[in-house]
Amino acid sequence: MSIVVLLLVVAGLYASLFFSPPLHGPDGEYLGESFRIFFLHVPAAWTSFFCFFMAFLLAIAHLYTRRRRLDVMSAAWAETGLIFATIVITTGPIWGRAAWGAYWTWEPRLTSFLVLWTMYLGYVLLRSAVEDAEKRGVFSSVMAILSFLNVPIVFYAIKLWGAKSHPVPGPNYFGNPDIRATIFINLGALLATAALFAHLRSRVENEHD
Amino acid sequence: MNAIFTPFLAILKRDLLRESRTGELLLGGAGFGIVVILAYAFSLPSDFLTHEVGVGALWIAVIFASQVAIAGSIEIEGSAGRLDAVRATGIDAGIFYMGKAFSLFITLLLFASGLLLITAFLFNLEFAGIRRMTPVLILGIGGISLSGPLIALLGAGAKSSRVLTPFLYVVLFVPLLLASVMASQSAIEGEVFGAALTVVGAYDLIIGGGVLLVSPVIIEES
Repeated sequence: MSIVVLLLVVAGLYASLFFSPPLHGPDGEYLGESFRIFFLHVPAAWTSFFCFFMAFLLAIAHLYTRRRRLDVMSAAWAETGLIFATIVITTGPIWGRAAWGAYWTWEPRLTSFLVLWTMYLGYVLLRSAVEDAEKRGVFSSVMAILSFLNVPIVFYAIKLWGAKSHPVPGPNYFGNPDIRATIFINLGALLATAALFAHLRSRVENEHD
Repeated sequence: MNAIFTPFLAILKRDLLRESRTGELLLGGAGFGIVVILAYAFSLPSDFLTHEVGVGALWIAVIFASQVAIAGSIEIEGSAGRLDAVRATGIDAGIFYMGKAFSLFITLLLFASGLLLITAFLFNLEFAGIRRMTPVLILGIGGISLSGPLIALLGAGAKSSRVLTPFLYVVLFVPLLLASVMASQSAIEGEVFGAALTVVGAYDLIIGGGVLLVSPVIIEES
């Protein structure tokens, strides 16, 4: 599995740096080379959502069955999601500085993603702060469920402020088949990486027991 | 129905009687809320003391003060061994949670109303606007009382709970805080039932529903 992931990551890097044509913004403006970070930023965001969704499903399953294995898997996906969410909030400002001239603006997508990130940081902190394994499993499953339920409300609440500078993916991004292909190669690479991380994390936790 | 309402009313009555006797949560929460509002007012130049800032200060004070009150309420249950006593009586954990949430709702609504009056005084809110804020206050406090005890229970069972509980509180209440501030601003400006109030209601339904489903598990584990 590790070799497949490595090959996908290499393919994703090659496509992002050499294969993809120059990118243009929503109004057709040339966005420069800095925009190649888009191929890491966007798939990393989708991957983090996928990880949090997996953590949510496994947390529900754990509360129903009380199988420790499900709790460990849920935590592994949540922690992996937090890693990818950290990539998103790190690459976003780098890209934002080049594209908008500012590292951070308090606009809906950025703010909602920051809140999402802090929620899962809370999850990790809570998990590390409960010593009893059974209690830890139940508490962190509840936290994973609450955090995930909060996500759409956070997004909608912040959206009421009104969209500002964050670009909305449109035809300029996804209309070009080469750009689309690059995004999906990277998405595949990051999803495979996330699955590998979650698998390894679960294994470490199980061996620890 | 009696099997649900009798224990629910018993928990509600027990908590409200205790509160009326000691005033611990009400006074502690209100005191802390007043300090937050005053700190906010003192830290801003007088030109900034508008109703937009005022409702923001109010909701920050309500969130922090309710955290103090809810954490205090859960601490009382734990320290006096009451949670064990409740378990021993065989009362359904979900009903116990609802009784606790409802008694907190009444307490929090009381001190939030007081904080609203102080905010109105310091930030020059109009009386008509304050009246229009009633639905926001009820729904916002409803959301806090429904999910707050669960967060307090989560935090109480962890190491370094004094740091972790406020952190979880703020993080999980962010959508409610944002929507309540926006709904309050709309209410002050004349709109009672706007989109932001719908978000507050949606928070109560979605998070409240989720909390009611998982709260029995947490009470059993606490």
